[in-house]
Parts: sequence; C-alpha cells; structure tokens
Amino acid sequence: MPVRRKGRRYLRIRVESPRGFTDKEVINSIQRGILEIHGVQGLSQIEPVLLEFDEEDQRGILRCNRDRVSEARAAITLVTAIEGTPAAMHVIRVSGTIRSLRREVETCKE
Amino acid sequence: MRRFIDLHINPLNERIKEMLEKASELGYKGLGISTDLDLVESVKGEASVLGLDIVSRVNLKPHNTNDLTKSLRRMRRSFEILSVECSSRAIARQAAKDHRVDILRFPGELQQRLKVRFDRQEANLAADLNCAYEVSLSDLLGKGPRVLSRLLSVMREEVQNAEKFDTPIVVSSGADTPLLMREPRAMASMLSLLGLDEEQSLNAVSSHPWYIVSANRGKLGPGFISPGLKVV
Repeated sequence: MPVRRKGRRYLRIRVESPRGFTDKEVINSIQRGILEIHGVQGLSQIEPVLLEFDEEDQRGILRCNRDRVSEARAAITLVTAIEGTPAAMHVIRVSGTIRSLRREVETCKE
Repeated sequence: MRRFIDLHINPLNERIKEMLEKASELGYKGLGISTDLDLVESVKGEASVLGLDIVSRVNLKPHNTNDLTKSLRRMRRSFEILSVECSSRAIARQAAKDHRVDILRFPGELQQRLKVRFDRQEANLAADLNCAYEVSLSDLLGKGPRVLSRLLSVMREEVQNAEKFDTPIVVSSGADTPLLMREPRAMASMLSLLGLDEEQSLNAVSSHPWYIVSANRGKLGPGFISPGLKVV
C-alpha cells in the first residue's frame, strides 16, 4: 500500500563566529533555541536534524518539517552564542530536495 | 523580485565598512544608518559599489514633548528617516500625531516596555499619518527565555494593534556589530512569531520601508512644497 512521505525542507546554514564548532555543538544550540521559543511540542513538530556539517567552512544542511520552516528559521535567528562563544547562524538557502543543495555546494567549490 | 532593506544599523565608526559588506552579502539592497551624517555621506560611494542604497537616519530620544518638538524642527530636513524612541506615553502620543515622524520605536528593556507600549490610540493616530511601527531585532537577541517570552507577548499585542488600524510595520536589525545582522527572511520570520503572515512579514523588510524612504526623498528634494504639491 502506498504511504505518503512526510514533507521535508532542507536548509543550508552557515555559522559565523570567531571560533569553529562541531556538528554536535551546532545541533545542540539549534535544538536549545527551538526549545526556548517553541517548547517541546514545537521541537517535536519541527524535527530538526543536522544531516551534514563541514567543520572547516562551518556550513551544513539542516532538515526540518516542510510546514515549520518559518519557526525553525526564527529559532535559528535568535541564536547569539554557541557554547558561550558569540555566534550567528544564517540560512543561506532553503530547498525541497537535498540533491539541489548538494549540487549548489559542488558548483560553489568548483 | 523583492528588494530588501534593513532600515536601522547603528555601527561604530571603525566597523561601518565591515557592516556594509555584510549587508550586501546577506542580500540587502538598502541600509539605514544611524550615525554621524558626515560618516554616512563618506561611505555612500563604497556602498554603491556593493549595490547598497544608503539611507541616513536619526533616532530621537526626547525627554518630554517640548524636547521632541524642538528636535523635530532641528533635525527633520537633515535626515531621510527620523524615528522617535517613545520613553513615555505622552511622547508616544505626540510622536504618533506629528507628521514629521516616520517611525515609532519603543524601549527594548522589558520594565520600560511594560510601562509604555504601542497601544490602539497610537496605532490609530500613526495610521492616519502613515507613520510606521518598528520591531527591532536587537531588542530580542541575547535575552533569556523569561524576558524574551514577556517581550514577545508585548510585541505580539503591539503588532495586533498596528494590524487592526493598518499602521505600516517595519522590522530592522538595530545591529551595532556584524554578528548581530541577520538575513532579510530571518528578520521576516521574527514577525511570523508575532502573528503576521509570510507576505506581511516580508513587506515589513521590503516594500514598507522603501515606501517611507522614497516618500521622504521626494519631500527632501528640490521643489517640494507639501504632499502632492511640487514646483516643476
């Protein structure tokens, strides 16, 4: 029997700070931000997952639910520090498929 | 395609160029700078290379209504955008009914904000004169959950008042360092938190501020006599 898949959105994010962070530190701060703004229910609805994160250029791909992109973006906007270090997170691009985001990354690298 | 503008940054002199580059990188086409007018003029050339339209802005912080009237008389013709920080209800009322005021701001500190806020009367007065209500992102950044929740609740009420009377809403970063600057859609997402739909939120960082800027440039231009009347 066909099952309808959950709609997802993929956010290409960039972390800006005087020091670099690991993927765990980044997803922890995103989850903490969502918890502060939207609470546990919001976190369960947004379902943020950091699919990949390049520690060298501090960019990564975050997955969230399609209907909750705005909430995820608001929580990311309010992040001003990660592990006590001043930081800012920016959403560079939002896409419906991870493939198009990866293609863009490859184009940038070329 | 939308042209985004951050109507308020408040840079230190030595960081202004860094912030211009940042704004361009984040996708802005316009930037309102509230700093020394000579400094604003001096960076206009560099900004145009980056594709940025620079808008001069002044934030008035009057102590009372007389002070407000005096400052308005002195400053209005020098700046493209004039905002008033309303530290008391009397100042807020006076500012909302003065046609020389473009933007109403309210204190970012919670205790003060609980005393003076953008109420329905001010929304009604401001709507008649097309004076905008400003949400400043810097008021929200770096706040703890308790203060943030109270501030969001006050701001949500203010946004509802503005919506009810069709008062234009603008959102700006109020950033003083590049790390506090955010991309336009991130700023719009903050308004979604305050109850606006996506289209209205995006208008608050694009069409509403640009409308204020173009109207004021018309007024400051040569030949302007009064709204709708101009020497050709």
